[in-house]
Amino acid sequence: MRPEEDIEKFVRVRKPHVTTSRQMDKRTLNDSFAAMEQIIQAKQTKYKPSAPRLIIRNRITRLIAAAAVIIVVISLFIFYPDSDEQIDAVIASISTKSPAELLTVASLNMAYRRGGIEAVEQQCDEAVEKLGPQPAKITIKELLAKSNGT
Amino acid sequence: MKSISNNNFIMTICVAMIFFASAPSVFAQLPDNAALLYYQACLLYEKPDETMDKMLHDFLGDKIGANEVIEQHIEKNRKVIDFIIKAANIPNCDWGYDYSQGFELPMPNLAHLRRITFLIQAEAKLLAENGDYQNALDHCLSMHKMALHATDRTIIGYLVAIAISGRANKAIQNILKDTPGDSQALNRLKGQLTNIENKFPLLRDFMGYETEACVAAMQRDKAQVILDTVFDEDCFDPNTAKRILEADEAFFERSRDCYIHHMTDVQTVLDSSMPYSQAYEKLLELGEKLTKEAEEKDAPLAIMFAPAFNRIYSLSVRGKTHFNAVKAAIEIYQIKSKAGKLPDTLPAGLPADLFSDKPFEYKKTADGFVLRCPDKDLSIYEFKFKIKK
Amino acid sequence: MIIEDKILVWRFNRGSKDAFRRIYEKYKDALLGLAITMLRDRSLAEDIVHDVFVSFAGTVGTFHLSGTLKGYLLTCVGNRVRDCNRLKSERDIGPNFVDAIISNSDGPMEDAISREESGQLQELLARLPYEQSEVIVLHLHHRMRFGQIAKALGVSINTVQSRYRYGLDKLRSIACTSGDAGTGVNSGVTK
Repeated sequence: MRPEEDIEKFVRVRKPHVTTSRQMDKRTLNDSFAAMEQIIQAKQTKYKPSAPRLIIRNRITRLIAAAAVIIVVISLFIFYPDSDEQIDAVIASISTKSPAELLTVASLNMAYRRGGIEAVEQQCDEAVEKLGPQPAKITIKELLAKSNGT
Repeated sequence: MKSISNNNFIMTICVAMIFFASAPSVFAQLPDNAALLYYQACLLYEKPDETMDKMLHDFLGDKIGANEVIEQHIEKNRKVIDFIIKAANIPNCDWGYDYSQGFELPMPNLAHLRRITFLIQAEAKLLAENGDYQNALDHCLSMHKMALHATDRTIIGYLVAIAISGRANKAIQNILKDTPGDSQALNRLKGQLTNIENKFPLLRDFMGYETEACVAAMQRDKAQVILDTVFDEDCFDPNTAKRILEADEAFFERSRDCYIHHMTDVQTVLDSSMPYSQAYEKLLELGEKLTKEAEEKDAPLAIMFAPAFNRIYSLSVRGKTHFNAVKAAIEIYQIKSKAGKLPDTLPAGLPADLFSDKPFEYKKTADGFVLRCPDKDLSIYEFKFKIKK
Repeated sequence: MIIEDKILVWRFNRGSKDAFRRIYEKYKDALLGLAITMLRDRSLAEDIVHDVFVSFAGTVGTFHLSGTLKGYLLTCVGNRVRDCNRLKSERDIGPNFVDAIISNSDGPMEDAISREESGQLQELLARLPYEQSEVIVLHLHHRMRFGQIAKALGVSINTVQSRYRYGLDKLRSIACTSGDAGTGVNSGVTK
């Protein structure tokens, strides 16, 4: 494996797998809810509506909220793709590239941007690998035999 | 009867003389374009299998010593090596690229050239270990010439050339310990290295074609090609890809303008005679400026096409510094051969580190000495040289 | 998923504690992991994650999400960790780190080998400039794209990529020269 791949793999596999403790969860959630309460109440005390206005406001608010949720959900589904498949179709996969495609100026430039000169060299190697083995030599006899169809 | 056979004999002799007189010109004609010989070498080179490949790399990395298998592999490719050495000594190298293809130009020679330099490097090491340091050093100089041949109009060709040249210098570092203080050979080596180094192009020489090719690629009808070649999903989210496919001409024009402006600024820095640290900082700053402008003007393609010039600039300076380290080391070896021991301090007037424009930091070690770039802390800025005991 | 986060943020902004709890459950471990990796001190890491969520809770009703929620929260942790590191005089690994992974955890015990391996990495990361280790961890552990990291940190993509590359180069160099037997990092000639 090349040095570039080694070090990235080295870092990736050593991600610490940690979980929070129940104690920490309890403390954080309690303090966070308290902070939320404080802000919400501060906003509510700024404006103290009368009872009839509250009732009317609540009905209107509920209707508006419901409409807003419907609009938001619909627009999210319209503007954001359902799945990654549509997006994946847009982006070509490097693994399916031919040697010629791997060795264009653009492709080699991209390799450099991704991983420096080591990545360029790796891509060159991949291209040569795809070209497959070459015969060590072919004799005149073999050439003639092939051309004569024997 | 006798006179007829005498005449025949004389005729035969004359024909033979004419034949042999012209034979050198028939059989020894080399092309004036090195690329033709390189292409032949690449076609003839039998790609080593995985085991052989690993063995070669372990040998070059000093993990294993020479063995019969490696020697056989080199002998099997004798013709390839001959082609390469001849090609390296031809000044002109025209790969026959159709530059009108711009960013889609395929460069298969780079991949193969890289491969065959490993072969030359392996033989150089073997020659040095067998005491033939002169030929070993000549092989290293051939690698440098191959590096020069790898450069064309593209930045990527230049980067591969720097990598090949770096390996050639590293090979020289390893071979120098085997030179028995042959002052003439060392002076010749120094002279040839200087000669090659002076021919090595500078980063600024590639800006023109790079700009031209990228601007030609940033076209609306090439949106899919852009996504296939330069879109990096590590940097940009998939919705940007969708945008590029659906964008109008104004989008591409904004990106081209932004990119051209950036490249002009970068060219100004590269053309100046700023010290390295200042130039590096300026190039970094220009990169930040490009990102900000590209975001403000909605021109993400400019970011996609413009490489990080600060990094490329650093690589090119490191390449030249390596040349200087090797030339400085040659002087130290010459001093050692006259005085019988290494100098205690770095002599004055030697080629310097180009990152800091200061002399290298010199330190004697158990098996030789080290030249270090001051103010740099990675091992790639250290050049180690050994002394044979 | 981006859609789910947008809906959670929308609900959170309307005072939903359940939405906040879901956000917390979703990202708490990743944030704690980042803080521990960068600080190597569990109790300090827990404090930082606690503070980040409490601050986030304080934005109820006014929070505006540009980018991803995960990216935003990771950046908040990163910023606080950076400030914390500036105040710390010496970054010593000590025994605190290895215990940091499991201490106070009610979950299953960490595998001893993976704890040790994480410790190896933290020791190496500690020798990098903070900016470089931050980018490496955000990209490789938390799968943030360079563009996202750049936006979160307020720098260019090129700067992020430079920090990433130089950081990896330095990690490789340190790992090779320290002769770390367990690293498995190839220090041979570049192929």
